Formats: sequence, C-alpha cells, structure tokens
Amino acid sequence: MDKMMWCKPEMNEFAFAANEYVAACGDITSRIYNFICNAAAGTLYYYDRDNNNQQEYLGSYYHPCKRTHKVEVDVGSGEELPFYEGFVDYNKNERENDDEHVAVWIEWGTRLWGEKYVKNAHAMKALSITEIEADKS
Amino acid sequence: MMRYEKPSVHVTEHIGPLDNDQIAALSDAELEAYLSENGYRERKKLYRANSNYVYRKIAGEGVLIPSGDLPGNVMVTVNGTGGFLWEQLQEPKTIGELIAAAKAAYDDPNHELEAQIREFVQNRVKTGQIWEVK
Repeated sequence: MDKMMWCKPEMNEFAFAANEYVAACGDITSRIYNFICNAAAGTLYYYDRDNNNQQEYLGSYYHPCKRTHKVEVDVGSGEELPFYEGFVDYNKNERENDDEHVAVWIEWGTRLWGEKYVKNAHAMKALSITEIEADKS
Repeated sequence: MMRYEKPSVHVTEHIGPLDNDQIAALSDAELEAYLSENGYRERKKLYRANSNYVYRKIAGEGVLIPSGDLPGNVMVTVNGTGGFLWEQLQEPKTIGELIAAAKAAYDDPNHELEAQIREFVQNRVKTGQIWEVK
C-alpha cells in the first residue's frame, strides 16, 4: 500500500460568536433557543456527554415534526443545555457516517420513583449543537 | 487486594549506553538509576486524546467539537496528520508508539516526523486537547 506524505500535524482553535441572549438591563435569567425539528426520519442516536460521549439509541421511529421549538434554558443556574450531538442512522449500520450528523434535543421526564427517561426527542440538521440559534433580546 | 487494570505492554526506545546483557546484570537500584538517568520515565509516559472532544470529519477536514465542561464557543480544526494522531490517541500511547504508527503510514523524506510529533503532543498537552495518562 502506498504511504501518504507526512506533513506537520496542526490544530488550530477558533472562537465563534456565541448565540447569547443579551439583556438590555437587569439580570439575564433565561435564554431561548430555536430548535428546528427538520432532520429526515430514521433511527436516532445521541452521544451521551455524561458517559464519555458513548453512542446511545433513542429509537427507530424518529420522524421530524418540522416545527421550530422554543427551548428555554435557565442561565446562571448551572443547568446544562438539553441538546446533544447525535446522528440519524439512515444506512442502518449502527454508527455515524457522512451526512448523518444531527443536533438532538431530548425532553427528559422523571418517573415517580426518580428514574430519568426520554419523553421525546427531536433532531435538527446541524454540524453541531453550537449551530442552534438563540433569540436576541 | 490490588485494583485490577487492563493489562498492557508499551514499547519504549532504549537510547542509553549499555547493551541488553549489561542492563540485565544491573541490580534493581542500579537499573532504576540507569533508567532515570537516560530519560526512560519520560519515554514511558502515556498520552491520550481528551475524551471531552468529539472528533468529526467535515468536508475532508477534521474538527474537534468541545462537549461536557469545555467552553462551547471554541472549535478546533485538525489537519490530516493531526487527525491521524488524534485517532491513534483514542487509546493511551507513548510518543514512541505514535512515531512508529506514523512511520508505518507516512513517508517522511525530510525526517521531520519524530520532532514534529513530539512538538505536537507537548503543545496539545499544554492546551488540554491531549492528556498525560497518570
């Protein structure tokens, strides 16, 4: 097999403008994100950031509701964004391939006995969750 | 009882002046002193990719997307050889193992590969993209 030609390994960081909610005055209490449920139907997975980004199955019957959901997140309370990186497994090989990546919004519920469960999941065509825009004040 | 950990063997270079027979004849204390003097511990260090970054390839270019507690408004682009090293570092590796893997995959006519890998790892440890494994 032919070898590739070595070139200097590089990583470059770049910062981009955060989708921030900026209040004209007073304390910011919440930020509203516009999550568009527009990824085509298929088997949906997300990467669990609380578990080494392990791939987790969400369901094989995901379909887009094609609405823009206004997702309100408390600011300053330390609450995590409810969005995750994920993919829709269109070719059913149980791993992510090109053009399968989506941002995932999970609506979590809590059972009476305290167990967390997925009430609903939505998927947005996006390279990452950083593309989800927030409303400006 | 001791804590179980995954059994592993890592190859490190030997650049000291003694040959293997001479090293085998050293006492434990002499061996420790010899290895310490010849930078053995440094070469034995293991590194791995910071698992809080998600590595993606977009239009042929690698991108590290921060997750977890990392700042969300910074992304890191990675060129081809950087991506190769990142993929190698999904499992802990010594610098020597990284160099060996890169030499197997790449032609290095200008003999820059070793120095550039050392520099890359040192710089990325400072910026937190690569961890030294304890």
